Amino acid sequence: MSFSLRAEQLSKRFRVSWSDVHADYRTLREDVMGLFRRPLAWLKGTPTDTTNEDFWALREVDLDVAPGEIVGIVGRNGAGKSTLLKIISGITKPTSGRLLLRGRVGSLLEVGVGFHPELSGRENILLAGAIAGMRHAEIRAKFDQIVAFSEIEGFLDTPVKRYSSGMYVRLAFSVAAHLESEILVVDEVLAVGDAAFQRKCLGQLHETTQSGRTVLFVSHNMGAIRQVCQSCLWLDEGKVRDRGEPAEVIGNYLKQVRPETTSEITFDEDERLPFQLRAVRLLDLQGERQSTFTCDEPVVLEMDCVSRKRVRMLFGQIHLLSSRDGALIYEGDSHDRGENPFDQMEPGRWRVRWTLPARLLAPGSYDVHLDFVSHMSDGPRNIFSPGITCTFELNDFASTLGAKRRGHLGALIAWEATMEQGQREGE
Amino acid sequence: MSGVDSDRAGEKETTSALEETPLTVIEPVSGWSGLDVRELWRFRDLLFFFAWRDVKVRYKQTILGVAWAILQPTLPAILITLALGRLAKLPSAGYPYPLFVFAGLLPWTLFATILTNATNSLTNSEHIVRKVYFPRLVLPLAAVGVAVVDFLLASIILVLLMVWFAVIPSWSIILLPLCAALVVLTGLAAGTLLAALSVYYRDFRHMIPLLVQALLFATPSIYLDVQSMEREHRSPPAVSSDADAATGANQVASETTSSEDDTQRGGGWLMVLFYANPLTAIIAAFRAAALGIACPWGPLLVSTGIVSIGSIVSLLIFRRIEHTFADVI
Repeated sequence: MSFSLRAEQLSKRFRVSWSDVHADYRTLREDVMGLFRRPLAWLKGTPTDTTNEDFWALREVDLDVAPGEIVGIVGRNGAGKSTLLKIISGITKPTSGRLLLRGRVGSLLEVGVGFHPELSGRENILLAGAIAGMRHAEIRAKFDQIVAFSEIEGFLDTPVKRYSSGMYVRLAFSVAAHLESEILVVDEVLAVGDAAFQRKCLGQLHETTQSGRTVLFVSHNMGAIRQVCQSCLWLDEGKVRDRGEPAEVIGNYLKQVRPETTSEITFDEDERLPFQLRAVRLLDLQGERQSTFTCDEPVVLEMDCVSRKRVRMLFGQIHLLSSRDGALIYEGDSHDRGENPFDQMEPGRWRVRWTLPARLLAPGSYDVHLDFVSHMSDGPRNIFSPGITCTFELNDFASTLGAKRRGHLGALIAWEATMEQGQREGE
Repeated sequence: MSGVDSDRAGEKETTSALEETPLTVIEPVSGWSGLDVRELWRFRDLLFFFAWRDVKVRYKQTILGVAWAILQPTLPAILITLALGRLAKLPSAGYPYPLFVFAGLLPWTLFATILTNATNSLTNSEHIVRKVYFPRLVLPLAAVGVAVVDFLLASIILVLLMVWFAVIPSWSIILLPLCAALVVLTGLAAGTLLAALSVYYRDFRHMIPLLVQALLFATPSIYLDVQSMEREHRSPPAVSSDADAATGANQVASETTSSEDDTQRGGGWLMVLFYANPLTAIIAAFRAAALGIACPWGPLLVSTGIVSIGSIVSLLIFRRIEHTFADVI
């Protein structure tokens, strides 16, 4: 059978302290001691000790992708999605197993990699193209197309440090989108950029495969995957959990994810972020942590935030998704009622509460999807995007219909009857 | 974007065309490997663009701009001239001391810039290393670009000084590019190794300024006329081919002629110590080529050997751990 990409028993092990970007770097002192105990151990690549520090990002992954196929990859953070893409693009090597690839691989793992702020847009196109593996002639040939796609014609000779974040993202994506390769791997990059541009990018992805290219596409956006992918791969703890029809795999994935998301989620602190969440939890009115509520009580979403720098026009976005099928049930943002607390939020630790009124939604299970976005003149830019944070369940014990109630809303609406005067039966 | 890359330009949709596309196998890395010239060649554009970027960005948003390239070797040259030439009155092979020192500091600055930039090249591009594939050797190699441009700019001062002091170069000037290339290789050998190590341990990054400072003092040929010192210590003019032989001759000399004593023997060992640092001979040779002094062939040959072996070792270690950079950096 012809394939475009084939993984055979592909595995990747990390030493946790190494893989964690934010962890302290190894210190020489620490390792010199180890070196004396086991000379040359690390040069040979053998781990000095196989303790619980080892972490398998991928375990014996078998995968066959046909030419021209668009595969969406879903899975929780740390499930091995990015590691798989990194191995495919050659950035990191597998620990065992092997991977067969037919043709050139283009990768778009992050928008704007290699951009230099001091260089102009024109210069950065050349540089980013070269970093992405394009030959000089190839970049020259596509230059006009890239510029047109990015819509930054007027700012070609301005240093990109003076670009708005939206322009920056557009330019970066355009370069990557014009890569010629038989296989394209795309990591969660569509999360940035405004909605219109995201649509444009998805369109471009779709077009890409029309020309017979194979695409592997990681996203937390189930809608996008369902929209563009022909098949879907679900990775869980480094293993292939499911592979098949997008709708089916996504359904199974969402079903599995739901009970395991707790009523509280915490985030590692990243000093580089101007704003981030430290924790999100669901509380009942008494302040007890809960994941199951009745339709007749409010659901309180409590967010512990850290503001390190004032961010202009920062605001929060909340989406409630149906856990069953990922459908959008509710959308709101922190501009909705009165003052937006996130705009120019003073540095420090904050606690923000959001309360879902009682009797708004139908019984069922809902995912709370959060985004923190800064609204720039040319469109929004993601500051902190945890995505689905918590999941809660609403039970209806107060009405006769109860859990059987379908639809999205749960309001109990009275059926009020008034008898019209003089129309009494039998009169 | 990737090492998994063919030079096929056209796009075909049919399966048969896909069957023709070359198959890449990605497997765990094991064992040692040398220089992959073919892959490096495929990424020559990237090498060029990295170097070009560094040159473009180097003096952006500075007032003095390119003048910095000239000031870098010139200011220390002035300081050393004042301190050692005027106050200590060190001999300078019959040449004006400022010219003598500058001809030594010029290649030294080339070396120091390459060492610093190459060592920091990987950790400075941490982000790119983590997200894009390319032969990592491209980064330390590209670090040479800026250093060479700076070097060429600063060479103007050397030319001006030579005109000012009316020094006419001899035929030996044709050896100058060769000596400069040797300086570059020395800087690369050390820088590439330190770059690889600093991916694991940032200690090496912090070590660099200190190392450069220490090496300035440990490279006596920059400010001392090492060659005439060497000649003095070889009292019966023994023509020997390298530093070790020089010491040997020295020992023989002290045994046969009793006129010289321990100080001389100590001086011989000092020469060995001087030349243990390959830069000493290379920089002396650079100056010799520029100003038309007799070239220290013996020590230069030994130093070239040391640098060559050092480059190979450095390359092997770099290639051995290169594949882990993205995970560790």
